[in-house]
Order: sequence, then C-alpha cells, then structure tokens
Amino acid sequence: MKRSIPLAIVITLGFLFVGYVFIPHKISTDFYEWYMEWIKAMSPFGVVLGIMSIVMTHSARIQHKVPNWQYSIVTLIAMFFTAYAGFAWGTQEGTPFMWLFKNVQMPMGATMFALLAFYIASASYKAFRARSAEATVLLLAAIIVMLGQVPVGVSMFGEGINDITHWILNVPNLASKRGIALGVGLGMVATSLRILLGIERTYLGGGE
Amino acid sequence: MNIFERLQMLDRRWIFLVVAVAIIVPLIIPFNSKTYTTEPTEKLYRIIDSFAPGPDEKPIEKDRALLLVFTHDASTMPELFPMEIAILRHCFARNIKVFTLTFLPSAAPIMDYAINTVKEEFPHVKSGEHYVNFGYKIGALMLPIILGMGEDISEAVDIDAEGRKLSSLPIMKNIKNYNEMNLIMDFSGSSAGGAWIVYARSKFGANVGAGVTAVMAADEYPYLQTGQLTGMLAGLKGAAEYEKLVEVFALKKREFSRELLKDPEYDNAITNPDIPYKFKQARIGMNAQSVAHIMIIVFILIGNIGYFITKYKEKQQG
Amino acid sequence: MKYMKLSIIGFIVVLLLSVCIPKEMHAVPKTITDIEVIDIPNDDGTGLQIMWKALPKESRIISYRIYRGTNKDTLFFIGEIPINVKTGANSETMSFYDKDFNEFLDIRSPGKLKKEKKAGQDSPFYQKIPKDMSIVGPMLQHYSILGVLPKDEFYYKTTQVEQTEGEETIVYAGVKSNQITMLKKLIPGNEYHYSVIAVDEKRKFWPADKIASGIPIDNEPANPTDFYATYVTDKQVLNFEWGHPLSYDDIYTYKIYAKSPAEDNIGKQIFETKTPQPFPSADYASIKLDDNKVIDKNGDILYDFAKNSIDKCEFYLVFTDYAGLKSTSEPISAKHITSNDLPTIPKLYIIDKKNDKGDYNTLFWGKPIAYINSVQPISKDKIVIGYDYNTNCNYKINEIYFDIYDKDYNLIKNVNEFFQDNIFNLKIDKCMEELEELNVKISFKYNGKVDQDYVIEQKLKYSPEILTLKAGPVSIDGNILEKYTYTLMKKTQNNEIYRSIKKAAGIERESDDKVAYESNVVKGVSNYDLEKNLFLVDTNIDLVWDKEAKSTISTSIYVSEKDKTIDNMKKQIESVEEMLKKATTDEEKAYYGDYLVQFQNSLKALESNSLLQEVNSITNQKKRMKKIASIREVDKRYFNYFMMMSNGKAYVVEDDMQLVDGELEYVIPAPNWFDFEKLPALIASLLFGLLVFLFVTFARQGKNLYVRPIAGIDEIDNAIGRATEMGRPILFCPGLSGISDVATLAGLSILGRIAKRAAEYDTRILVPCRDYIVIPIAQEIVREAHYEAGRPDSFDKNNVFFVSDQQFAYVAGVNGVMIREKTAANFYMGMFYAESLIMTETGNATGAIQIAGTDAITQVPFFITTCDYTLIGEELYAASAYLARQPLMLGTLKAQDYAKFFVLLFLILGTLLSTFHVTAIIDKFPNK
Repeated sequence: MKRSIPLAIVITLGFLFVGYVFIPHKISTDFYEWYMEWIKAMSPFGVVLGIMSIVMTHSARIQHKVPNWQYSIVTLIAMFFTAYAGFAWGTQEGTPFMWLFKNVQMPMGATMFALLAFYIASASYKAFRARSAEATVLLLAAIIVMLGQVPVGVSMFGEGINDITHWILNVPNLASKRGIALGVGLGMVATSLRILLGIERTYLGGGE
Repeated sequence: MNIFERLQMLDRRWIFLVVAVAIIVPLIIPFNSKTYTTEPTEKLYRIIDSFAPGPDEKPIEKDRALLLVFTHDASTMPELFPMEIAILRHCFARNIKVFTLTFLPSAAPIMDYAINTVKEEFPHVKSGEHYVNFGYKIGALMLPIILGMGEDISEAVDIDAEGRKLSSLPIMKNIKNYNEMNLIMDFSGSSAGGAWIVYARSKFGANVGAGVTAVMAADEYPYLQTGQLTGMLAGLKGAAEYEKLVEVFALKKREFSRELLKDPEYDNAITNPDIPYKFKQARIGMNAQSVAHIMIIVFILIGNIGYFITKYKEKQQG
Repeated sequence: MKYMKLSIIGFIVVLLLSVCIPKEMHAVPKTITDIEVIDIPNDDGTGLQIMWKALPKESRIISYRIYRGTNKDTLFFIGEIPINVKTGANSETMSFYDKDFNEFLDIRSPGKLKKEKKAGQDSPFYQKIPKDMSIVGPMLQHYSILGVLPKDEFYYKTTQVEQTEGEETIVYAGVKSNQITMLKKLIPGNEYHYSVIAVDEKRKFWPADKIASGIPIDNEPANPTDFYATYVTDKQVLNFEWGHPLSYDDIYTYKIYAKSPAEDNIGKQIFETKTPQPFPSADYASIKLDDNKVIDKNGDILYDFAKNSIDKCEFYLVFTDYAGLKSTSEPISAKHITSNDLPTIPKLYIIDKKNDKGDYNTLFWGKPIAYINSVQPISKDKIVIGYDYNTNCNYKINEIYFDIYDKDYNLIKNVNEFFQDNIFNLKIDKCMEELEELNVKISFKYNGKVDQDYVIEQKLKYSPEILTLKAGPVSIDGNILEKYTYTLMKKTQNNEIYRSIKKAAGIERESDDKVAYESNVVKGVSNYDLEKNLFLVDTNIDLVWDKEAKSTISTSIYVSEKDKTIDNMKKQIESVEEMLKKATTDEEKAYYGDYLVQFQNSLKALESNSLLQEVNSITNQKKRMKKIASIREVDKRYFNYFMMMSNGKAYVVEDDMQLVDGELEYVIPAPNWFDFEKLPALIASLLFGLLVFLFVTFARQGKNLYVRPIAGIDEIDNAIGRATEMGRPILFCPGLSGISDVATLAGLSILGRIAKRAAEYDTRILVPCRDYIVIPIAQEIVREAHYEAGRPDSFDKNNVFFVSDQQFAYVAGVNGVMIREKTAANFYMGMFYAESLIMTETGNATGAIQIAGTDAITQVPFFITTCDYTLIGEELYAASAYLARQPLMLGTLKAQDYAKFFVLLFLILGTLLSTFHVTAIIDKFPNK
C-alpha cells in the first residue's frame, strides 16, 4: 500500500500530462491551468521542510558540540534574523531585509561567482596536458578559442583566428553538443518512461 | 627538484595571484585595442536598428519597439550591464521606442540605473515618449504577461514603473502587441530567453535575442543556429562589440555596413577622453580579459613544457 | 582558533545591529510642498492628474504614495510610484494619473478600515479602501463602478436579494466582496481630494503639507489630425482617412461635413459612424455617390450631396463625445484619382486556426511574398544576401527563385531556394561600388506549380553611406507594397460597426485574431445591502442575438424572475410611448421613435425566441444557468471579418464583404482534439514505447542483453571502498534543480544504490540539498538503503540536510562541508549550472575521488577537467539501470540505444535527401 498508492498517482498524472502535450483542446488546457494554480499554492509549504532541516541539523551540531559548532550558531542567527527582518519591517526597498539582501547576500553571491575565473585558471593549468593525440587537439582548440575571444589574439594572429574560433564553436563543438543533447533527450524520455511504467521506483525510497 | 618539476606541483594560490594581477592591471592602466565584431552581435544590432524611424517619420508614429527584459541581479552585472546600456544608447540615439521589464525584484534597481545612466547623455529623451519602464512585475505574473502581451501590451502590463496607465502614454501609439514590439532582449546570467522563445516566439512570432554571461553562452549557440534566437550578446565580448557598433553607426546616424567597421579611426576609443567611461567599460574589460587569457595560455604552455621535460627525464632515467 | 570564531560571530552581530540603528538624518527636505490637481484635457471628464515637484536625490526617497478621498478627513491609498534611491526621480515633476477604470476593491483590499500608522495617529491617511461594507457601501455613489465577476460566480453563486425602492420591489443579485473585483472611474463634476506621502529609505512616512482638490471636467475630444480625402472619379466614391485618435474612449461619433462655397459654417453632413466602444474603429470612410445622393451599401439614400460640387467643396471631420462636445479638423479638399491609381486588394479568407484551444481565427490574403533585406560582403567577390518571406495557408511554398540582374538587366545568376533558410551567397565579378545596383526578380513554385506570371521586383542600390548594397522597396506590377497597409476589422452579430483589430504591413500575408473564451461577467455596481453584507448587481444576462428582431435577448439568472423581463420591457415601452407623446421637436420625436421601434422589436423577440423558451422551460436553477451559459458563450464568439487596404492618405480599397447565401458570414473558432504539429513527436514516442516493450520482453525471456561498460559507474564501488578505508564520509550532491527535473530523479536513483553500498560498508554519506522537496525524498531513500543493508541504527536523518536555495550560497555551504568533513569520495549527480567548477575544484584540492554525472552539457567540460570520472549526458540516466542490472531496466537501456540508431538514420537520410532537393521529409516536421 505504501508503495502502490504513490505509484498509482504518478502513473495516472503522468499519462494525463503526456496527453496535455498532444491535446490543445480547452478541456485539456483548463485542467493544466487548474493544476498549475495548485502547484503555486502548494510549493511555498516546501519552505517549511527546508527550515526544519536547517534547524535540526544545526541544533544537533550545537548540542553535540561537534567540531566547528560555533558556525552553526551564526547560521541559525542569520537565518532567523533575516526572516524576522522580513516579517517585522517588510521586504520593500528601505527595510533592513532589503539592506541585508543588497549588502550581504548580493556581494557574497557575486564573490562566489567571481571565484570561477580563478578556478578556471588553475583547473586549466592542471588539466590541459598534451598526454595523447586527443588531448593535444583539445589543448590546441582551447588555445585558439581563447585567443579568438579577445582582441589581443586577433591582433596577434589576424582575423583568421576569429573565423577558426567561430568554426570550432559552431561546427565540432555544436556537433558534439547536439550528439550529447540527443542522448540526453532520449535518456530523459527513457527515464520518464521507466517512471511512468513503474519500472523505476528508487526515487520513492529504497530499492526495488 | 628542478624548476619544471616545481612548476608541475605549483600551489594553485600562485595561479590565483597571477590571475588577479592580470585582471586588475589592465583595468587601472587602459590601452587601445581593436574590437572585432561577430555575426550574432551584428545581427542583433541590425534588427534593432531597423526599428528606428525613417528621416521623415515622427518617432512617435513608428510601429516598431524593443523590449529589454532584465533577468539578472547584481552578481552578473559586470558582464550584462555594459550590454544593457549599449543597447539603450543605441535606442536613444536613433529614437527607437524601447521598453524595459523585469520579473526579479533585485533587477528593478539595475533597470532604473541603466536607464538613468544613458539618459544623462540624451537630454531630449523623455519617459513615456521615447521609452517606458514597465517596472518589476511579480514572477507569478510572468506567463500571463508574456502571453497577454501577444494580444495587447497596454492591457497585459497595465501600469508602468511610474504608476501611469500604459494606454495613456504617447509611446504606445501604433504599438499593440508582438507584431509591433517585435524584439525581446532577455538579459540573464543563466538560461536566457527560455520562456520568451517558448511562448512569445512560437505562439506570436516575436523575435527573441539574448544577452548572456560568457559561461552560459555555449548553451545558447544551438538556439542561435536554429534561428530561435535572433541574435546574441555573449559576455563582455558581446557588450564590447555592441559598444563599438553603436559608436560607429548609431551615433553617426548611418546604417550598418561591415566595410565601415574596418576603419582604424574607431580603434582608439579606450584612450579617447571624449567617450564617457560608462560607454567603453566593456572594451576596457576586454583588455583585462585579453591579458587574463594570454596569462592562462602561458600557464598551460609552461605546464606542458614542464610535463614533457619531466617525462623525458623519467624516460632517460628509467 | 577560538578567538577567530568568536570574532566572526561578533562581527556579524555588529553588522546586524548596524542595520537596526538609524543613522543621523541630514537636513534635507522630505515634505512635498507643492501638490496640484488638474483636469486631464481632451478626456471624458473622468481623469485627474496629480502633480508635485520631486524631492531632491539627497532626500533618499524610495517611493511616493498617493491617497484619494471624497472628503478631506479620510484619504485612501490608491497607488505608489517607486523611486530609485541612488539616482532619484526620473523627472523634476512627478505625476500620477487617476483616470479610466482602475482598481477600487480587489483581493488585496484589507478587511476593515486601517489607518496608515506611520503617517501619524491623527492624520487623514488610510490604507486601501477596505472591504467593510459600512465604509465602502456609501462610497459607491461617488464613483462609477464596474464589477468584474468570474462567470461561474455570477452564474451559480449569487444570493437573490429583494429591495424595495419606492413602490417597487426590485430583485438584485447579491455578491460578496471576495467574489468581485471592482474598478472605478471618477464622476465628472464631483470633487476629489488628493495627497501624497514621500517614503524615505528608512521607510519613514513624510506626508505632504496639504491636501489638494480637483474636479474632473468633460472636455471636447482632441482635434482630428492627418485627415485626407480622395475622389475616385470612375467609381464615384469619396474616400476619407484620418489619424487614429490617441484617446478614442470618449468619442461617440465620427462625422464628415462637406461645405460648398455658398454654405457657411462647416456645411452639410455627408457621413456618420459611431465608435464600436470599447474597441477602436477603423479610421476611414468610403462613401458611395449616386447622382446627387450619398448611398449606403444596399443602395439606400443617406444624404443629399451634389457630386459636381466636389471640386469646390471643403471637407471637415468632426469628433463628438458622449456629452455632445465636438472638435473639428482643418478643412481639406479631395484629390481626384481614378481606380487605376489604386492597387487591387487581394481577397480575405478566414479559417479556424489549426491545432489550438479554439480561441484563434486565422485571417489570410494574397499570394506569397519574398524580399531581400540585407546584403553583406564576405570576401572580395562574394556577398551574402539575406531574405525573408511571408506566406499563408493557401500557398505552400516549394521553391523561391531569385533572378539577379545587374543594372543593365544582364543576368548574373538564377538562385533556387528549394529549402528556405533565409540566406544565400552570390559571386560577383565587380566590387559592389562598381556594380552600382542589382535588380532582383523573385518568383515562386508553390502548391507544386511554378507561377510565372507572378513576379516580385526589388532593386538593391549601392549606398556610399553604408558601403554596401541597400535593399529597396518591394513592388508587384509597379505597385510598391510597403506604401500600403491592410486594416483588418471584425464585428459581432449585435453590432453594426466594425472594430479595427490590426493594421498589417503591405508585405504581410497572414494574421491571427484572438477570440477569447468568456471568463468574466462585467456589471455596474451602485447598490449594496449593509445587513447582508452584499453588493447588489442587476440580475440580467444576455442570452443570444435574435436575427429576425435584430435585438439581443436577455433574461434573469433566477428562475423565479424569468417572466419579469417581458413585463419590464412592456413597462419601458409604455414610458417611451408617453415620452413620444410629449415630444415637441422633430429631433425628439425621431429619437424616441427609434427607441420605441427598438423596444417593440425586443418585446417581439422575447415573446417568440425559441432558445429563450427552451431555457425558461427548465425549472432547476443550476441546470437553467448551465443551459444559458452554453448558449450565450458560444453566441458571443461569432464574428464577421472585413479588410481594407490604404496608404494612410485616403487611397482606400475595400475588400468584398464576407458573405454566405447573401448574408454576412459569422465564423467561430473550434477547439482541436489533436495537435498535428506534434504528430512526428507522437509517432516517435510510440515507436520508442514499442522498442521498450520489445526489449523488456526479450530481457524477461532471459536473452542476454549486452550493455557497454561505463567507466564512471564501475568506479563508484571503488570510490566508496576508498572512503571506507580512509574512514572518511562520502558526499553526494543531487544537483541544483528541483524534483520535477528528470536529471534530479536520475541522480536520486543513483543515490539509492550508493547509499546502500555505503550502509553496507558502514560509511557516512552526506547529502546537502538545494531544493526543499528533494530533502524528504533523499532522506527516505537513504533511510530505506540503511534498512535494506541491515543497518538501521547507523542512519542519521541529519546527514541529509538543506543548505540554501541560493545558487552560490549553496556552493559555499557544500565547499565548507568538503573542507571540514574531509570527504573522501564526492558524487555530483544531477543538474548543475555555473557553480559546478567551484565545487569540483575544491573537491579536487581536498584530494577526494570525484565522480560526476550531469546532463548540463556546458558543465561537462568542467567536470571532466576536475573529476576523476564523468558520466556524460545519457550515461547519468543509464547509471541507475546499469547499477540495478535487472532485465526490466536493461531493456529500456537497450531500447534507448536502438532509438538513437533510428534518429541517426533519419539525420543521415534527411541530410542526403535535402542535398538532392528533396525536402518532403523536412517539411513534415514543424518549423518552430
């Protein structure tokens, strides 16, 4: 029972939505819109799960004084204070919540994003080794594209490098991407089909 | 351990340091470099330019408009903001009707900032006549608005950021739906254009363009090739290209031509004090990118030389 | 170490406190001192403009809040203008327009009267108008109110309320405030009071120093502009065209007057049309003359007008509004032309749009059009020519021929675009400057035949401005297409006047018109019942258009009231008859006479209409309403279409009427049960399903299905083993997208297998989540895995935890876990975005074995460079089946491989065929 009811729901709704894709009729679109309204109403409740998880994990850490438990205090204070700021003073421009968002959240996000540039440099330094013929091709292609992307490269090697970059991006790169995308598409359909037909049930918890 | 072996084991923090220097120095000391334009950018420029009123046409009467959608927050501003102001500069210089819209609360200030930054240079430009800021609309309204604009923009958007009824604004004359507001530019740090391609393009035939960060640009190429995206600005490079196009054509009020771009007189923009910093920031940024790319290439080469020397030695020993 | 942690905590506390403690205020003005309320010109008397000077940037204002009231003691919040603190207001003077129908009461309105506390306890400012009937009820009389009700609310969920007004008892439909959205318009002549509160960065309210008042006044409409006239001498038709008025809401009629030199004023009226409110009209008039009369389409005489006076006549266009106020254009004279000067108009066709919900009609006309839109050089002797084409459902384009000639009409090349990709290359022997111009003749092969008589011409001229060839206008038989536009119009059965729906450019060939399904009922609201807490609206609903009586049949939504409609009509007829008797002037007599005929027709229709009788024979309230809904909602969606072509200067050509059996043809779009555009997708899905079925059957029969080994999957066990040996935990990251993403589901399936193995080895597995919904599912999976491995004791719920739903905050969290917990094996399975490298590079630095699997193609390179093994694209989906090694799972995997083979076959076939000009297969696939 614990398995079969959820499975029945998945299968029924799954086929209904497959139907929606092919049926443009008003009845089908109305059903879809009605369902979407419910999704909108239901999804906020998920937040509770998230908050519960954070509180439980971190309070357990504080309780057991695991190494670095002090950080958990910071996490909990930050979470509750931000939430409180939002409830108490609102979330419009000019409130503490917005201040936190603009002066804490946004710069920290941007900093993490900026790390990417450094990591790309160190990763490419370590990874690009002409170990084999394929690796050499990859290495050369990477260097050409990098040069083609910046004005200095074009000034150094002429406009031809631009065309080569364009060709690399548009022909071999796109071809391989399409190949992968095709596989991904089929893989998705196959996985969905496995779920729809009840063959794949791991996502319901546990094994077969 | 010789120097090459050491280089093989180099602590990544040294690399971080060199990259930081390579990025900061060109930003502080500007130098000229040539900007080469590419097709996706040119295509976008040309379609936007085709929205400009003719020499004997009143701008108000023009039945073409452009919508800029800001789908990003401050974290991706360095790459996307120069694009936005380059396009706005194009629109204001050529009297192209332009609208701005966002579904992200954090993008609303960026939108205002972009408009005001460009407007300072064009005193004749008026809100409600040359441009309208639709403002921030809540995310839940995204689909209804995208679909609604296919019928009637004034009705779907209703009021602009200044609280005015859209239908009462002179700019809306001759602008009804996607037939007139024919191009939507979506600026985004992740996947740009998605909903617009699915709904505005396939249902109403609107053209969709994208402004994306360089990391995500590779994701958009397939859409570009199939034509689902009319044009694309990819990262800082795209912004730099657009900056140049605006300077060469839009400000001089002439039409696009690839031949004119070859003229070297447009290559000294970065050190030209007459051009405000804000309209060449992407090109200055490209200098930093140039140096950083060269730096990384040098690193890769050094790494490889070290690799081969170590391998050679091992062979000799072994 | 301890001090460092403490100092971090201290720093954050200080940070948080600094937010709450207000900084010193600068002495900058924050109060608005110059509020002004003025009447909006050229409107219907329902608009006021509130103006004030924007406060300087230094005031740090974040928004202006506008309040309105009918007396100065209570002003309600009506709107807000947000301001960017950094840049200040966009203009010096701020304006707020309180005009047209805008929000009065809706779902966001508070339940009871709420003071705007921040403005001070004794200030007159209140939040939005509340739903409290004792407050909103008396306010109804100060505005004209429209109530918008979702149709089902009005059909089935109203309360029947009786009210006695004088001697009469009137039945109303009572609706609760949460059933209705109310919009308001100001009433001309009434006084309204306004004030503005400036809100600063600290969300402090700064009320303006005064309350300003204003009275909206009905003004005459804006003067007509761009008015042109032509006289087509051979057809005896006078054409007029004028610019579309910016605000047409208030215009009641458009009239044209002709003034001969002998006459004074603006002369005699020769044309009148009403506006199809609330829709815009087509801004033209085409008047047929017969001898000295103006006649209508049926040949009936409308006005006297001496044809030979056209030369000397001056024409005036007059806009009249509902209050009778007029505005008149400048006089113009008519230009004489013949029908040879006019283009021929293609016939308009209307069909139901295919593959839709049933809310669109497709309108199309004319033969296909193709034109060149750009020429760009790619090398010295090569140019790229871009073109576009428009066609419609009558013409399926097979091939487009571009015959390219030089300036002396020597043929350069014939280009055949058998597959229209909007671009072709052209070799030229001279540079473009020397070429000067190219002449292009464009013809088509459509519907399987070449149409040689239909040729489009276009010139490409060299422009020194842009250093390339510039595409000139497109012409057919010398008529330039861009000069003309098509105006598409439609009308319902119960309206005589066509409304304009779209102006299509001369090169367009098709347009969709939306015929929306009815979702709301709109009713005027002026009454309320305080006791029952209900708004009262009238109970009538229109049912159907009666063709014979030319009148709309209405009925009450209540069964008990069904007969009263007829009684009411009789009463109305009596009162009109009385008015007619009292009437003295001819004008009055004609006015009431018209009404009398109209009412009598309506009465006749009410008494004889069969549909109404059928409806009224149903006694069950709900069933009767269902019947009414089914009749009226269909009846309203019938439209007749019409098309006109013009150049904006009164060169007008009208298409024939859309007729069927001599009557106007009304069409209605129908919903479709299958989207044929998706037929290829359906066939492919069914084939795929069949393959799955076949291979699953084979697998069940015990056939050995070979699946190629995937290195990354084989290594999973080793990675877990290594973590166990080192005594360190495992990290499993289920990707950044939600549960509706198939990649996440695939990732979670793999989690099940990994968790089981980890539980067997008694190794801790950490699962940080970004999506709330994923947490309980992942917890359940890990828990089950522990139970299955026989180690329920080692399961800790807190090892599956939520980090943050912010992309980069999540990354920071996961990186922290990797570094602090020193995880020995990291798995990344699911959807990833730009953050992938930041995670894996950190993992790489901590020396963990990393295995990634994702279908995010752009992230694959990052994973490959930093992870030990990467499952690319489909391998992620295959992993679960591969690990399970069950026949059912392997069957689907095998089917997937074969499906891929078929796709490949199709790709090669399509490429080959289209290389040989066979596009039949490509054409079967949808374009978009």
